[in-house]
Amino acid sequence: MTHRTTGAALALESITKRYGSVTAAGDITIDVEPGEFVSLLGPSGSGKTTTLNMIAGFDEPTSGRIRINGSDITDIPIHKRNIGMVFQGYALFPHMTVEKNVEYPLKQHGFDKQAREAAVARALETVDLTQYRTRTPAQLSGGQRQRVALARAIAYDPPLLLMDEPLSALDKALREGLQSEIRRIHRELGTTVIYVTHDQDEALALSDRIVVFNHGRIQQIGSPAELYSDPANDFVSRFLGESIHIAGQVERTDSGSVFTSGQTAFPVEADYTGSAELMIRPESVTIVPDAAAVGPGQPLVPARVTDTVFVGHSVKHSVEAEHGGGVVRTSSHKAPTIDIGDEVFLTWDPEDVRVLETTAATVTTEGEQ
Amino acid sequence: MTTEKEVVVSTSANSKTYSLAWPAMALIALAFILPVGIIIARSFTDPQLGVQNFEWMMTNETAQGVIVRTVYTALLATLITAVLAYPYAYLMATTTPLVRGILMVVVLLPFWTSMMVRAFAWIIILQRNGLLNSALDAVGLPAVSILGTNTAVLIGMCQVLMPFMVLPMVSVMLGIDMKLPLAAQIMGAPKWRAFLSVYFPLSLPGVFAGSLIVFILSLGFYITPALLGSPREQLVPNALFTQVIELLAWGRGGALAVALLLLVGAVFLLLFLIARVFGVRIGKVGGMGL
Repeated sequence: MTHRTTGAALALESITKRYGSVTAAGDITIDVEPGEFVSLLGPSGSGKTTTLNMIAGFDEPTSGRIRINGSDITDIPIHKRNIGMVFQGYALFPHMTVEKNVEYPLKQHGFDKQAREAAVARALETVDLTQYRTRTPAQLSGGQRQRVALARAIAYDPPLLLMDEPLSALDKALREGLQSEIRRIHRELGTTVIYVTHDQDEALALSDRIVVFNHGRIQQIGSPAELYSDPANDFVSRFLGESIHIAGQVERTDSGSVFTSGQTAFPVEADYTGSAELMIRPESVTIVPDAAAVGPGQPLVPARVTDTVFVGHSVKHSVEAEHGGGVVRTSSHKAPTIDIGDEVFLTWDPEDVRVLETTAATVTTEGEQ
Repeated sequence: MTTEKEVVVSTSANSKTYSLAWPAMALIALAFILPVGIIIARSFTDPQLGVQNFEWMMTNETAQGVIVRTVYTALLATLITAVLAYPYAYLMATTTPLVRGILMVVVLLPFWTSMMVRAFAWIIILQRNGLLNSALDAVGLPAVSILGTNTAVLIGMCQVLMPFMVLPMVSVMLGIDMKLPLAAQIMGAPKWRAFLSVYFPLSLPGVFAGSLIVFILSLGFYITPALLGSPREQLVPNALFTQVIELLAWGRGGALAVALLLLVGAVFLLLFLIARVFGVRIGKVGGMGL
């Protein structure tokens, strides 16, 4: 299928939303390329929905500008922004049939009857709901409603499509099916998509780039791979994917930086000194039964296994070290038998490690609402 | 075996459930269906067997005037309360819980005052030597010029009926997802069109439910027209009272009662048909209203 739409470029220029003394979203600057799929990811209350609402025009920014294709839309009323949107909970019009729901935006944008019918038919075909067009939303399942919402949002080919946790009300199997449907539609239409979610897997699976939010601030912007392998801070590393974290000190010696945590010390790459946190992704960590298996100078951290869960392709071990802990995965078919309560040693290739400067504020992955 | 047992259990549970309704059914039969039956019977038998009472009602100009005036007044009261109640209900449904609470108290205030107290209040204000006429007299206006007009009756009725219109409206409006008008706007509809094409149609079940209740109640208003209206501009309930209590004409009174019943039935049917046209399921909402 050819691209029917040219996606719009979206620029958020330092937008801020304050409610009294509370900053719901502060200094948000994002540049979105035409046709890009960008997720706003964060716990609830982190400012991602506030940011989306400001793009849609439901909320007015306290300061900052919003531009679509270079033109300032900050003060333009909602109905003139030419944006498509899929709402959390769908927001389908209950008094209209599926067909009328999808036709609604076309009518508002002044399409003639013939063009409307063609666009409705095409949109319903895209989401595979043609046979349900005369039903009302109440007569549809959750997944079908979600697809109607999608069809309604794309029917008039908006250059910018906003999605507010569109899959959060659905069960896992349905969610994964719709994720690939959203990917396909995005590929086919070339629309720019801003996708709000609190689900890291969803963001990793769908996005070209992810914007990680916490406490109303952007923590990091990057591709899924960048965020995973090179998180900017502690929060991002904990929020995206599993990891092991070990607290310690970075000290400079003649031969380079050394990370010290309790009894263990090993060289790391870091350009600062002071308290720091070591982050290693679970697939980079090896569990060894005794210290002798590892050469001198190599990372070696004693730990205790607190939980072991078989998850099919791998086994997930929760481990606790003196100054940290986290999750280690071992391949299920060649896993050494490790039981809960075992005292083991963790080691890893020094190159797979990220040293994160410890920030003064404690960063949690919990929602703060 | 087990299945059989289960079936037996569930059947007995059902009959038990039904039996819970018997006392209420008996009460309705004794206190409502029976007297209404007697009234209808009397309208055909009093003073003698025949349709003379209905003949009187259909040919007597006064009786005709009373019926037309009653329907007209009820329709007007419904319309006025609906127009006044809609924005109030909208405000209630869309404001903060605190303001909603305050507005709710204001609506319910008349309900919390006993019927007797309210009736006496009206009498004190509106009786011949009451507050209103004394005040008018002090200003030098003739005492009867305010009392005895249909407008005065309407004002009094609307005041009493307002909660019956507001509450069903609010209960329906509270159920409307406020994301819907926003969705309409982001899809290109200006605010007013988003309201007219999305919010208003979704609020109609509340308007219908309130209108039905208000119309039916206003057909049966007795005290307000008796106090504020004039005998020359009687409404059906007052005419009925005159026939039965003052003239002891049970037959003619019965005929008027039958006319009231038929009117209510006709309005039900009419609203049902209108609701069908609008695709609104009124029964579902009507019960929820109060």
